Amino acid sequence: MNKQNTPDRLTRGEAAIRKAFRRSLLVIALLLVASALIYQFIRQPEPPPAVTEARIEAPSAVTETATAQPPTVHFTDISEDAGIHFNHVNGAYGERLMPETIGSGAAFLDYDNDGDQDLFLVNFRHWPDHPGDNTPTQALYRNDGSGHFEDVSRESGLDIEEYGMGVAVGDYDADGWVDLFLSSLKKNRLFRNQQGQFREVTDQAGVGGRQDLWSTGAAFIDYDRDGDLDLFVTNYVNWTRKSDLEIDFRLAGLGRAYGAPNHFTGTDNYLYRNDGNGRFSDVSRTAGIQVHDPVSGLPVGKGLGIIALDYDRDGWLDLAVANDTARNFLFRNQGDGSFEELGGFEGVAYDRKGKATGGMGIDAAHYRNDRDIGIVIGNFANEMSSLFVTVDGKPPFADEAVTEGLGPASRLALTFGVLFLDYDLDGHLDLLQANGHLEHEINRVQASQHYAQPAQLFWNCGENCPAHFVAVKDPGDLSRPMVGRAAAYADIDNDGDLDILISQNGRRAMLFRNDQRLGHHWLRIKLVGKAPNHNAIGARVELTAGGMTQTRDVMPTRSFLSQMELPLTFGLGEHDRIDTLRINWPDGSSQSLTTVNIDTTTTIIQPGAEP
Amino acid sequence: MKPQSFPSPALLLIGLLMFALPLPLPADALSRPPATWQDRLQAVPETDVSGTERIAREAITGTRDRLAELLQSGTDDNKNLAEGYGELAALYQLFNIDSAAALCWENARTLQPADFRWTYYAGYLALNGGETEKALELFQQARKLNPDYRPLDLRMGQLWLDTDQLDKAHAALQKAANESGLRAAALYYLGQIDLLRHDYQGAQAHLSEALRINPQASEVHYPLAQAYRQLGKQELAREHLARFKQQTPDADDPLVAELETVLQTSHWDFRLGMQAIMEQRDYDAAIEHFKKGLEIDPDNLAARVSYARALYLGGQADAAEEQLQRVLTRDPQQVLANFFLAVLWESRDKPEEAAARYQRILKLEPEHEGAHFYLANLLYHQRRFREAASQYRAALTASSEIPPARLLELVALHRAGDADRDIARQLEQRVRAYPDQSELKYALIRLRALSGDAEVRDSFKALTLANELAPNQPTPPNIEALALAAACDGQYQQAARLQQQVIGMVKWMLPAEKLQALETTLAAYEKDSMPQQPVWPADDPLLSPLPLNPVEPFRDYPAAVPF
Repeated sequence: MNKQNTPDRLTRGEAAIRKAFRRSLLVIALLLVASALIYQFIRQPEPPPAVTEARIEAPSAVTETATAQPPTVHFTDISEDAGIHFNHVNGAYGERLMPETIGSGAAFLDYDNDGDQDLFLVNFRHWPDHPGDNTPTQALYRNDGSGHFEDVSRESGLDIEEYGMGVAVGDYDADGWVDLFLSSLKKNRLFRNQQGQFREVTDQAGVGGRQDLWSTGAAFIDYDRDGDLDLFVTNYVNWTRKSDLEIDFRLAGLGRAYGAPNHFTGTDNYLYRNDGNGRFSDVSRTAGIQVHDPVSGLPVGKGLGIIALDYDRDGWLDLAVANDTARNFLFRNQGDGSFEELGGFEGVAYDRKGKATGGMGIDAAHYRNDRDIGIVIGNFANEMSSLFVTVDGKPPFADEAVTEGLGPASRLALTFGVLFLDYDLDGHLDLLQANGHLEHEINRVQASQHYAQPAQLFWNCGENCPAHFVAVKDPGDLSRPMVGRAAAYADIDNDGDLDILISQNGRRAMLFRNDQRLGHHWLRIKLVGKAPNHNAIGARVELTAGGMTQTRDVMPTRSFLSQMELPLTFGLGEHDRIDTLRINWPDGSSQSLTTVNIDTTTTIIQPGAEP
Repeated sequence: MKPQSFPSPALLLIGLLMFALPLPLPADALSRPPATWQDRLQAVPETDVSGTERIAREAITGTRDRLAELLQSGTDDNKNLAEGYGELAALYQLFNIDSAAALCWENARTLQPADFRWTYYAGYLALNGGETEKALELFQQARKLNPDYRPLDLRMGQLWLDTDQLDKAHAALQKAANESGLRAAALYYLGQIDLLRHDYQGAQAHLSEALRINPQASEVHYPLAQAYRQLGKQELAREHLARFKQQTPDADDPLVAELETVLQTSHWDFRLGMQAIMEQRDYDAAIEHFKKGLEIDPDNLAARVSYARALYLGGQADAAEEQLQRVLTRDPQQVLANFFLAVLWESRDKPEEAAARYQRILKLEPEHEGAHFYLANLLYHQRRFREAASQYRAALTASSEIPPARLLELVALHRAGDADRDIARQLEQRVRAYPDQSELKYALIRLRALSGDAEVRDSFKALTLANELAPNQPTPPNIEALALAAACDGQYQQAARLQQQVIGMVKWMLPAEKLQALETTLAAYEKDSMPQQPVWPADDPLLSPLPLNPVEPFRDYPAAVPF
């Protein structure tokens, strides 16, 4: 060390500077420590972790009493590969207007009569004062027969901008080409299919409804058995943007939220009788399908899902409507052009505690392969799905969701589309539910809820299990979280099994291919009825094989705002022949066949009908 | 020696800047528990409580603040902290902020694991939220803590029932049924088990007994109706269905009772009040509910307006007016209060005051269809027809769903002197647009049959329309219109027969001068001539606004925010 630098050789000035510097270091250090302490005390809490759309594990049934387990069947999302590039627009821009949450429906239909199932997807649109940067339209996809689709919206004339909700498909003018009815938040629209080109005929037909009435489900059915297809339309709530904003619905814990239907009054349904010549008459008022509260006089209905069924086996098609936060309707067809509403009396109006649930999608089937019919309704979150079943083949119905394995497993999910379908072709109708919430941030206030939710597939165990339905733990891509709304099925690739379409609100539609390889036999049947109901809507087919009789109805309107393909699919399991096939045609006549090839699609023409 | 110096200006500046910068506010200690608690307690983030009523917001905020203070104080008083979290959990649960409630219950349990309450409440929350597995686990733990809390049997019974474990449900509910305060509720759920098992006799027995014990539990009527239906007793089924309302059987569960009364809120009473008005038409009950709610939340102006409505409907018009004035003193721009005050004044024969009040509403809300329509009616009755027509038009622009306005606008224009041909053109359009509104057709038939304008008078059109209207809706006015159309077409005999039919239908209820008018018309037909009467008589109830019935708007006018 250089002696010249030892401390006692420093100048006083240097010493002072050093001392000052040491002091300043100390001050800095103290300041830093103080600052750190202050910062530690007063800093904002870290923001809560971002909500991740974690996969909900559907709760396993508390009672594992099933003695058989679902076969391994996966559904694969082939949307992109299949050419389905459809994104639903819900118009949301921040004010949380109720119509943004509901849409939209989907339809499988053979619009070009080439024998395969094409796909129509309903779209909403941007609100006028928030135009967005694209122009969303309805979409029609043509199937090339192998499950690949091409967007033909423009060339078909269906690239329409509309506040689309649901769709109904039916050949109302009996020209051999299925037509299309689009329900809307505003005026509804009817498009006549002219050999693959759709032309709007709403005003001429007289089925536009009111501009200010929010229509949802729709069904072409022959309610008066005069042979042609009439139109039933259900409407939701009495909504205006002004009232929605005025009510300013808020969820504690979230702030401004989407309004609930119980904040709005109900609406009436429409029934249009087909008068022929392309025109309909509005017979709603006299048909008994408008239900009013006896005290307030206000309409009760807040309709979403529709199913037509002959629940009392009198030969006349009845109608069941799933209402959201209002009692469900069951309109019994009296055979004289009018209906009587009997939901309460027949046991389908409420859940088992007498509560009106948030009913959305609906389907009906003889899922036990006996005379009993089951009506399934998808309900709101923290409400079990309803499964109303007749007893000994006759009404009234009882809600058997709990004992049939569906109730507990469905309770948490918010269910829209529901469908009976035999996905594994074993001869028993299974059950699919499309789920998804309304609120993006619901998880912040209800830990058990998520915006996107996986679909649920329930395998029908038949008589081997105390409860018919067993939740399928791994159905492949169906278990991805989705903001599910419509669920629709069709055999898009002509391999005999049913593929599934699930629409999403504000997201892309998803097409799932059924990849079952169980080797089960099957039969698909396409019916051709007498004019004017060429597609035999309303026909019932009973197939008996191996001592078991399965029943299917030609009724494309099912689920949520959607339409299924017209052909009927029967799974035969291990049975390699059919004992009998009985067709009950819509006009009341019937036909029995014993020689029918299996593992194929068969067209059966009603005697006297033109092929 | 140089004197000790202060820190340099640069350092000072740094220090000042650090203090001057907008540093974030202190974190809520519940959102970020102090270090001593971080490993033991769950963070309970703050949530948006703007959706709750004021009293709830204040209670939640106040409780959070007190609890935060306690946490930060460094206390190790687990009991006190647990009580604090418990109180906060109860508030969150009461207002359906379930996530936050669950976290608070969890913390209370951590702090006082032996306290039965916290585990029970957490289980109850999970049960109501549909988290059945979690509820089951918690109730089983609660059972170990307090095997003698009988309401737990009821909850377990509900849980087993909801999860299809009917034997366990049955056993638990049977136990609960032995407690008098739980018997009705237990029997209700036992009845549901019976229905699921298709034991309809058993269901009938259990449910009937539940009703006998607790007759107000109107919810029981529904499953009982189902039981009767299955037993083939249709009439009894219908009877019970008619008596069904949503009111669950009482269950004497002290802990749940405490939970539900942790805060006296007003909204529950307000909801009951609205139900009493809308569904039950029980205005006395509505008055009581609103009164009670307003004692808790006297500043809820929307509720006070609803209270005023209930008072009016309950026959207390003066009290109703007082309440409306009270609202307007606080908030002169409260539209609904202004509207009902206008209606009330109009009903008290104060048309000028009422009109001025309607005008004030329209300044606040130019598209208020109620104000437009009621002002239009008022002006019409004052024979200020053109102004009335303008207001009807404005009402229709604000809302297409005011059917009377569609006709009354044109009637007012007609009375104001507009030409028949202009009126006819507009009326034709409206008949086409609204084919179900029969009064439009009625008015057009009369215009076509009686107009003094030859271009408007058209017997063919009148008869065509009348033949469409009268057979479908054979009311005296419509038949009379058909008679007019027939006479216009020269079919006097037919007209006379129809007029006689009308007289036969109404003579027993009409005053003498009106009957005389009908007979005068008949006499004209019998003389093969058209009756001398105006196109649209001023006293025709179908062609003028009805006298004000204030009960209707007080009862039916929609309130977007009733409280």
